[in-house]
Amino acid sequence: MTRHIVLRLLRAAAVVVLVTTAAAALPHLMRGSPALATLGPNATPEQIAAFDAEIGLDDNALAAAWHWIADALHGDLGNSLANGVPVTTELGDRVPVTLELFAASQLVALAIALPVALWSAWRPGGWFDRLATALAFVWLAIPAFVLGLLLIYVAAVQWRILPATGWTPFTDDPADNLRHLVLPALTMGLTEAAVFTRTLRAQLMDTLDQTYIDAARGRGLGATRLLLRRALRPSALPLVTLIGIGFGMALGGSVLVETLFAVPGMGGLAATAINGRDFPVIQAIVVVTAVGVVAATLAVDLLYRRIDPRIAHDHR
Amino acid sequence: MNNRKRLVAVALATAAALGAAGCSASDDAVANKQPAPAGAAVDGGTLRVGLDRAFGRLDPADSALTSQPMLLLANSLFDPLMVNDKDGQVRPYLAKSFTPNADASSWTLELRDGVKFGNGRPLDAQAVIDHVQRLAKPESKCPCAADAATIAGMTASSPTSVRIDLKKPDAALPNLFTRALGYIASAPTDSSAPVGSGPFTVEQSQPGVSVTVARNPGYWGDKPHVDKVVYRVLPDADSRYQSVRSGDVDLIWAETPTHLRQSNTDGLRTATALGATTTTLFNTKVAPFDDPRVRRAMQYTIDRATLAKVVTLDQGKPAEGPLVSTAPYRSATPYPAPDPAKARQLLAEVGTPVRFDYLIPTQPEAQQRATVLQQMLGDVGIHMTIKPLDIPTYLSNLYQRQFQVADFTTSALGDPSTGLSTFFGTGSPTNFPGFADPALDTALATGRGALDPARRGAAYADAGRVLVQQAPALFLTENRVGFIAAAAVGGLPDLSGRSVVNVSPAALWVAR
Repeated sequence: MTRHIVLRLLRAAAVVVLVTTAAAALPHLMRGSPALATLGPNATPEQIAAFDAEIGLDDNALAAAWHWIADALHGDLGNSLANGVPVTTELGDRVPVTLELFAASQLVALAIALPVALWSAWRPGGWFDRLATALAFVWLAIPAFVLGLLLIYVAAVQWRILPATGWTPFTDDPADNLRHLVLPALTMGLTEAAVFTRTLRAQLMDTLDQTYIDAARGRGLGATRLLLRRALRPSALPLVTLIGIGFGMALGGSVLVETLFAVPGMGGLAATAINGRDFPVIQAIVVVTAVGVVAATLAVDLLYRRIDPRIAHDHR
Repeated sequence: MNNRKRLVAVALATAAALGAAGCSASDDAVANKQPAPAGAAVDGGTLRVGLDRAFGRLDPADSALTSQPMLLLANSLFDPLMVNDKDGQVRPYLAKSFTPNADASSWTLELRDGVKFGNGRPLDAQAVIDHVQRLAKPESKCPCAADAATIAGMTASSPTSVRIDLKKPDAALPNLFTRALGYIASAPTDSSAPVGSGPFTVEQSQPGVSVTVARNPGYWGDKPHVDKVVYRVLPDADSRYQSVRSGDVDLIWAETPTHLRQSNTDGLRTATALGATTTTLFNTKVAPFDDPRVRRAMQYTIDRATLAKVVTLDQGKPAEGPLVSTAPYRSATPYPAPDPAKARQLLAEVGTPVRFDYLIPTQPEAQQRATVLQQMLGDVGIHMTIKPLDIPTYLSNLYQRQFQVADFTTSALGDPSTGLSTFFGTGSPTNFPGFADPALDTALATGRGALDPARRGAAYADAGRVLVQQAPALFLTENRVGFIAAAAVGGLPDLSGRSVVNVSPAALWVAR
């Protein structure tokens, strides 16, 4: 068990080191001239040389990567080329926004997916199951930005009950923060809900075919208790994986939803940084996302053991 | 199944309502169906603006801040020495006058007396010299460094007078002081951003998200109507438009034809100019586009009127040459009418099939324009493959001339002196076509050095003729860009005769 965890940690560390090295060498891997793309048409040779020195392009790729990693280990991720602000400050402002949006969207998704999947799996092929499956397909077919615009049109333009775009930090005004959170969280959550529902329904139907479920039924256990106490826990593993990986990915932010709703999270930052060739910011986002995904994968692994003791048993 | 059909129908109906489908076109894109708010201007309150792009440093040296869609923000904090006026001419704004010597090799800039920066320091001759010298340094990263490099020396002959000596005569020097070089700012320090003399000062700023500016009590000019302006970065064009419809913001930057057209029926007001020209650039250094006959064949093939109708939805108009219709010194250039037969004849003379990649930035309008062009060119046997690229990569390819043909939109063709030499003058870093033509260079040098308007006009007419005959680029449409505002916003100027959308937020007010 301990050996397994140590091995997993070593593997995770290797992935992080690889991604970090690649991210640090990013300016060297770009096509074209980063200096020209950033400084614009009339850049003088002196400006280009100064810019190349600033982002480490005058070094070779490995040396630049080494310097970047050494600085990062001291908590220095450099400054944004676009506005001169330390990248750590940018991340500090934006990570909480993205995490709040992610948490709210997962709540929306789970609030829909859990009851729908449980009911669908209890009566597979029934009218509710067929309707839920059809709706899940429709949701999956609607791109997030169309869904987002649809929600803006209905809630902000027609009903005028929620803001179309923008953000208020929770610490400034909790109520206004929630008003701004609803539409982007619904946009992300409704799309996730369809995936969660289909995954959980399939897993629940497998579980409900198990003999121990038949035995529990035979003992007269009621439907609600049977589903919640006996079937949900072993069926929740794929869902835990989805949420875990989603959390890791979420650190990179949802570029699409954050851009559409002008939410100042990591996705919006990534979009701006990529468009402006703001290398220090792009490098930091790549590394933070990689660390997030690796950490989330590890956490999911460990959580599996808690949810399903049989897994821990296999690895002894 | 019925439910599913109904859901799809609802989605489609809403998409139509969002502007994806047509609505009644305005006969006159310039006219505002929505009248200005009644009564006198209202003082006080907050104006909320939706910008289309992130701002970096609030420094005139930053090219993002002095791009056309951001000038409203720049004008909050800084005053330009010179400004593009409604007849396309450049006139003094912060400056009192800007006068040349006999051959335009030396200019005298007279400043207003008593103007102060927001931090109380005097904005005098030395401050102007310091500002220009700061932006000329490589570390400022200002695209204006090349313009500043044309200056041989600057001398403060009095606290309000600056003499500028040039390396060679330039009758259009004032044009260089309408944006970055003209937005006089005190130098930034480690702890503070640059400070200007504008009608507002920064109250709060979160880069890339929003900036709030408050009225500058010591402003030298007319007092702004509103107490504050909140600029929010709303990068997505569709949700930005919905934000002004829903009342989240009062004013937005807009370029999307569907939004400009729909604003009339949504009870919104517009202030727009023909501020962007769409072009097709040829890399004249690579075959087959090093042959003017191939370029002319494409010129004869493309029907600009159809492009204006289909892509700009009649919000813009067909371009009639290298200079926009509102530019000064513009004369009619004999731009050829579409003639597919002539195009086929030229292609037959060349004898080799024409196939190429067409570089476009990843923007919906560029994609739409390219699709229409692809069809038109296909009709005469030219095979074009559309190649969308993210904007930084696209620009990088242009600068390094790694392209055959490219879609390019610019707001610089309202200014003949800088626009034409920037894109087509021999040796200019932004001469993307790699075009070199002695007759054009002579015409541009004559125009730039001539103080006599008639001589300048004649020189730019010569330049226009060369560009149409040699076709290093095709000029397609002039597009309407500018602001869409809620009905409650007053003070919006009529921009229809201007070549640059440049509005001061001090003139705007909100009737709430």
